Amino acid sequence: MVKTNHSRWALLLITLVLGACATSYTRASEEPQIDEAAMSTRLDRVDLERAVERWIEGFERSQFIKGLGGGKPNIAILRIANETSEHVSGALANLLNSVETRLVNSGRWSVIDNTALSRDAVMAERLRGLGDSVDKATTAALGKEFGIHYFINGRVGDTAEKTDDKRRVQYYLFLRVTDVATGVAVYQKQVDITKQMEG
Amino acid sequence: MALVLCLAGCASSGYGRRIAPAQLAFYQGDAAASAAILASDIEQAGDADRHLLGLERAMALQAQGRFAEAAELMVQADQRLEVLDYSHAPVTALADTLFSLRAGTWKATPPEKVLVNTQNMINFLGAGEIEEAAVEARRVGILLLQEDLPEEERYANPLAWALAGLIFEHAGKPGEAAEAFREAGPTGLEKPAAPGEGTLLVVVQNGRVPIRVQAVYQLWLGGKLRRLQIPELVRRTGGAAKSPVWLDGKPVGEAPVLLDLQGQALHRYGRELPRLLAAAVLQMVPRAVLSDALRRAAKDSGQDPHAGANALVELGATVFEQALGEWFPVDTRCWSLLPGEIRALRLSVRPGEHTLAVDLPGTHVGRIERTVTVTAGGVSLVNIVTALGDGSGHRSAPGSGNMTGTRAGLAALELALATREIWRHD
Repeated sequence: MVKTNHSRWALLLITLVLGACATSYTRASEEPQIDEAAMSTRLDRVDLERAVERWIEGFERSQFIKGLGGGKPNIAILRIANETSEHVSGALANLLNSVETRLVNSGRWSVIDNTALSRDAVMAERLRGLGDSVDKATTAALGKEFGIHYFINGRVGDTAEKTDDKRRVQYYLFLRVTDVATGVAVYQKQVDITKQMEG
Repeated sequence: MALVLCLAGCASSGYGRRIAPAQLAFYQGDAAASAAILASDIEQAGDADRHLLGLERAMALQAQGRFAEAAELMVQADQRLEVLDYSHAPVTALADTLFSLRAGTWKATPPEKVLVNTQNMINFLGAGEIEEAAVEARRVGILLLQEDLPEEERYANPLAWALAGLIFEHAGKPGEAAEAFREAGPTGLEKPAAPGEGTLLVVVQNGRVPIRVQAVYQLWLGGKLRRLQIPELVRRTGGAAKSPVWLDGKPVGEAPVLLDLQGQALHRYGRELPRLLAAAVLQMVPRAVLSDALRRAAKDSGQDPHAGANALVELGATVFEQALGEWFPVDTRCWSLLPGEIRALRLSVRPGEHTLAVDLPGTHVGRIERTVTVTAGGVSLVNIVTALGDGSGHRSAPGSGNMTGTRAGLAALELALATREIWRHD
């Protein structure tokens, strides 16, 4: 009897130990709230989706879109520069793809794939150092060599502050649409995102 | 009773033993083997050591010119790094970190945290990823300006500011570049390349940073031998006295010291020592209480105590107290593959392939030569690590000599004098 009790306790102990060490995995399709929690001060998928949503929403309602005639003008997203204190280049590449997808799905644009621009060595080098403004030679090359009518470029910047137990990063995403023929900005909008880490 | 202070010796912590083979390979010149050993260590390590081992491996990768891999490891570590300022943290927090029964997650000191970003600026520059280098430059700026660093330390890292300036300049951020160069003061890195030429940045990571080892002091207090153990900072040998640079066979200058890690670490240690000793006393008390309890129990159980039996009890209790100290050594983990100082020289060079040589008098390697390609308006990096192949990495252990006159020894003596009364009345 005593031996049986000991075995039970041993089994219970092993179960508890194994249970404590076990790793668990969760699928977001079964528990959607796991996508919502912020895990770091970097930009995650939820931040990017919300940012794209807000920017596209403003773009679709803009005077520029209302005044755009028929046809499907060619548009390309050149670059979204990372001017933050976080390594978010991967997230910005996803953001760029996300905006491209939304433009394609709107049915209003012929989207020139960003990778097509990157494959051209000269253009890739021009785009590498691109900031807020695009020089005339690059603008002309975009129209002449790639048939682009409008391009989007922008940057993500941040203000990061740190105290003993908190780090707050305020991001601002700034995207501008430029008419290649005139070099004039036809639409621009800033979207703000704030992340904070405590402890 | 006269007070006796002597040093019993130093012991390697678990981390010290773990890192030793990788250090040996590195200092014998085999950075690839060092990186491979560390990769295996990282796989086997628990969460407590993983990020520190990652930083060590990043240094071994960087020394081989594998900048992108080194950068990735440092970014990973940086995201999860915990920081503890030994010179300001509460004594109880220090005691908890340095003397806990089970080693917790490694905590970097503020200068080590700044060095993660400083080294990663070098990594991203070496990898040619100027935008990512600019991210590190911004991170280091935030740390230096907003972290609770004392004023003199905030501006004691002209290298970080100057590197940030050079990176911002090449990332097309002249405003941020000017600001960083202003914070750096005159370093020589602020001089732009001549029109039509490119920048060649020569970084010499010289010598070895001081590391922590466990120092054990035996204090004769209230008629009993007490063991006090603290993390002692010890300098390491090696490094070149100067580093003249030659380009295509012609002398072009000498790389000045822009960051004196060894000097700063030793200076900082002087400020940390009172707290470290206080934390060590906190840890000494439970050991002393346990051994005294053992002493009393043994004496109480003896029917006819005599001198011989008392001596045996004393010996047993003392051995027990020493054994407790051996079982629970001080946490001496630190980032050990860092250099003792970093020198940097910026050269304006015409585009094309060049041969660069750096003389390193006093080191085993003597002279290092590299072929480097420079582009107009671009920046090319040559990173020299003098500790690579510069011997076995022998360190002078505090247990090997007389502690009289050393900073830690004198401080321990003062502490012992101050606490003698407590034990006398115990």
